[in-house]
Amino acid sequence: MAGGTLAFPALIPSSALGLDGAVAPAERVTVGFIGVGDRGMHVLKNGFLPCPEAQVVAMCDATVWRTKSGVETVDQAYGTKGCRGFADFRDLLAEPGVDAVYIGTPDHWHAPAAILSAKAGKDVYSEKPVTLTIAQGQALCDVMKRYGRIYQSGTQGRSGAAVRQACELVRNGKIGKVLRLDIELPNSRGIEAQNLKAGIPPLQPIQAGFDYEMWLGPAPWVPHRGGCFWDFRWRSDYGGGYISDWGTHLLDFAQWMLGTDGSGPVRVEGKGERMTGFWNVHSKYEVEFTYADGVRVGVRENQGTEGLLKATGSEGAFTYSWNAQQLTAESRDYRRIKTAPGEIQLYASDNHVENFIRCVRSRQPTISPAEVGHRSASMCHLAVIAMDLGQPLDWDPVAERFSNNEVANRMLSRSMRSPWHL
Amino acid sequence: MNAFLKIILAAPVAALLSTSALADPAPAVVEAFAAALASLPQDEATPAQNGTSALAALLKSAAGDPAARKVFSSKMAALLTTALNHDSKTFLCRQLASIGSEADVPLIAPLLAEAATADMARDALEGIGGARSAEVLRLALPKVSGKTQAGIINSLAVLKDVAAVSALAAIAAGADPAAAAVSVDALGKIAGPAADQALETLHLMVSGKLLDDVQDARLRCAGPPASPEDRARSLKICQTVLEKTKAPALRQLALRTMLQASGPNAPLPAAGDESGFEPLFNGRDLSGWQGADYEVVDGVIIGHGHHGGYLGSTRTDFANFILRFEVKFSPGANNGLNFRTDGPIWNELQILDDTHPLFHDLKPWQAHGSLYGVAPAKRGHLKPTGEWNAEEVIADGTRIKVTLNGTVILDLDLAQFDLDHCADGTAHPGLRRPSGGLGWLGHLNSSEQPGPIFLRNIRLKRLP
Repeated sequence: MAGGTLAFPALIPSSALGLDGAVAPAERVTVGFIGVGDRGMHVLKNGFLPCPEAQVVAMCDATVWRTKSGVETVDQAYGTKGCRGFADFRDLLAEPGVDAVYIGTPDHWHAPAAILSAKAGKDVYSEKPVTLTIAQGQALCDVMKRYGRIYQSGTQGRSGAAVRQACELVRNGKIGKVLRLDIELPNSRGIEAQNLKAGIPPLQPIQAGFDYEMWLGPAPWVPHRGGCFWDFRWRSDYGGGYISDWGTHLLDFAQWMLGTDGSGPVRVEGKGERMTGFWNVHSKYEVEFTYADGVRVGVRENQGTEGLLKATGSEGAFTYSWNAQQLTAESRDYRRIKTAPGEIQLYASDNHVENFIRCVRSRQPTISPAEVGHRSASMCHLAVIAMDLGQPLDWDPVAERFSNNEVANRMLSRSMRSPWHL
Repeated sequence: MNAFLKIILAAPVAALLSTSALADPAPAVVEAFAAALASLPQDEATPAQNGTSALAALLKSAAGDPAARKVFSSKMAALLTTALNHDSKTFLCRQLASIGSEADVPLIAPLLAEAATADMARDALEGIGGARSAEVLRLALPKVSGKTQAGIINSLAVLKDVAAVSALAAIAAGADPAAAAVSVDALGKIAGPAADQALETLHLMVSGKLLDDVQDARLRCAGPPASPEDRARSLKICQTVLEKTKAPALRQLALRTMLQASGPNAPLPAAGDESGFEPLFNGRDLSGWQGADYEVVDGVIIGHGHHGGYLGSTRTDFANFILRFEVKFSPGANNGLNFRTDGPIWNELQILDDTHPLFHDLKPWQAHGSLYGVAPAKRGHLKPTGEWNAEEVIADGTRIKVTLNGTVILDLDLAQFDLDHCADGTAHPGLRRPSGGLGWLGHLNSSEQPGPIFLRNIRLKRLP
């Protein structure tokens, strides 16, 4: 962008938003979007635009057309022309008129963009999984702490009564002593078939208006073959397949259920198979985590496309369905159990975006701060390392290192393509 | 089924789970590995994907076998200078990052010289680590420029290579602003005395955005400290940055680094019945107070002035009250609570890190919590330096009572003291005042050590 700082237009008066002055313009948190694809657009329309305490003022995507689409969506919602588009997210970060950012890029950009945003003075809402590696997560937490930034991990299920209730059931002993949590994730047969059928995509010219170099960012350079939007998640350079995609959510709930936020398991083992061909994430997976108190958490594929978390204790069991966003019909008796006064009550939030925006204003921790998001994403990374090595691995959740495998320790981090760094 | 997978699956399992950890892998396995490597593509249009699954299976077996790893990694390293395509070499370097060793470094090093291959070489070297990897990165530094050089600088930061500090400092002082910024960032990550020294020197040489980066990097070096000695050094760095910068964001960063370097910051449990207490500190700014050298960060007031400094309440009508607050010391910190004051009058309850060696021969009425110069408090009830203390001061008529971390350490009736002839040999007539303002009296300690004081959760309940 040409030099010089352009002032933002005056913030939208509340009358224009039809809010009867509910939140004065000067009080609103201004938000910029970095990455506005399918997910980003969904969160924009359903999360940030309806939030009266926020005002979206800037859009940036690696594609010109998605930036434009984001700007148009915002302007239409507010009935003004106040939203600005940026080609380079660093220019967006340099704007003093932006208080906070939403990061909706592919996974490999989540942590580096969050770190740059924090250093630029912005609070961060990042999509999940919040990291591509465990080392990235450590750097992320360090930066958020040093710069005193408010951070929300995009595991929005925590801002939901059903998840909170399910976790309180376990924490308050309603199934007795926890024995096992069993997570099922959608199987990848369809993805695998698609992959084999497509074969190796031919080299493609880069579409005009797509900044592929920036899209790749810190990921290794590969020639362009398409598949950058949505399908990025099936290639390890950018994502982790269903294990990271759906797994982060359910493993996040598992950590909340067990009270191990900020910590993790002591052992992980698993077997899996990666797809062969252009897409190379795990398509078959079976992983078992063991926690210090003996609780086991298993992760395996579903026969269908469901995401499930079954909690088994000494006195009962129930199942939570990610697809249905509530306890299953078989577990309906557990739906009725409310937490009593005096029992453990977990952080209550009903809206993940509003929680973030309010915490930006109050400077109180969000429901899913960096440490929580990092440890939940770490569960996914531990699973992948365990499957790639095919050996049981002992994990030290305090030092965040494996105690019995140096090759595994090397897999905690990856180099970043220059000039990017954490 | 992939032909190479068949070969691998046929290889005797015993060969992979070798009974002697130091025996080379069985010839059949080595042959299978060589065949799989040979299938890696050369033309740029073919990605390496198809060949890599076979290799991945073999590499999985090698993860628990150091001898196999050596054989496999040396074969892979040898291919880096052949006609294999970019994708194949990227894949090989990715594997070398996990299973390579210093023996492979000489074959990886030449790739650093070319922009097209530098990043994959860095991937391998960052994973392998060690002195040899750092050395080849350092040697490559002056031979490259632009993004390639930036990448090598970043790799040296990842390896925390102290030997690179002088070369990085030279780049930071040089003519290329982008390279300078990356070098400064690297120095902040390498940290330690050499890097900090380099940053201190750069401090005097650079300006503008790069100076901000240098300050940021110095603050990075400042925390978190590993030992009490490191803690004093960290605090000193923070103090220096505060003295030299006006930029609000950097000041906040320095204050926060100071707070985080000073010790733990978890909240303390509730002090008892809090009904009737009003906050005197809003947690955000110094509303209700005035004074230089005290600033707010993350809900804490830090008194960081090198020469002390006074923070006085704007209200001056505190007569009989219960005051509760939390206080944390840096090593040797020296402050005091002024009460019922009109400003110049010091009615001081001592606030002092009195376990510090500096204060080994205190007069009894100089100990923390004492009515300074008048009456001694019980010693030995402060938390270790760097931890938060909960304190309560009751001033009710002539009764002055101080409770520290749950223990009453001072409880006296001023009426029983001859305030014209106090223990310190002077008069303290101000103690007769029935009301006045409050204040925090920062003192320069005798050795001029920086000694920030930390205050939070200040609240007061008026008594009739």
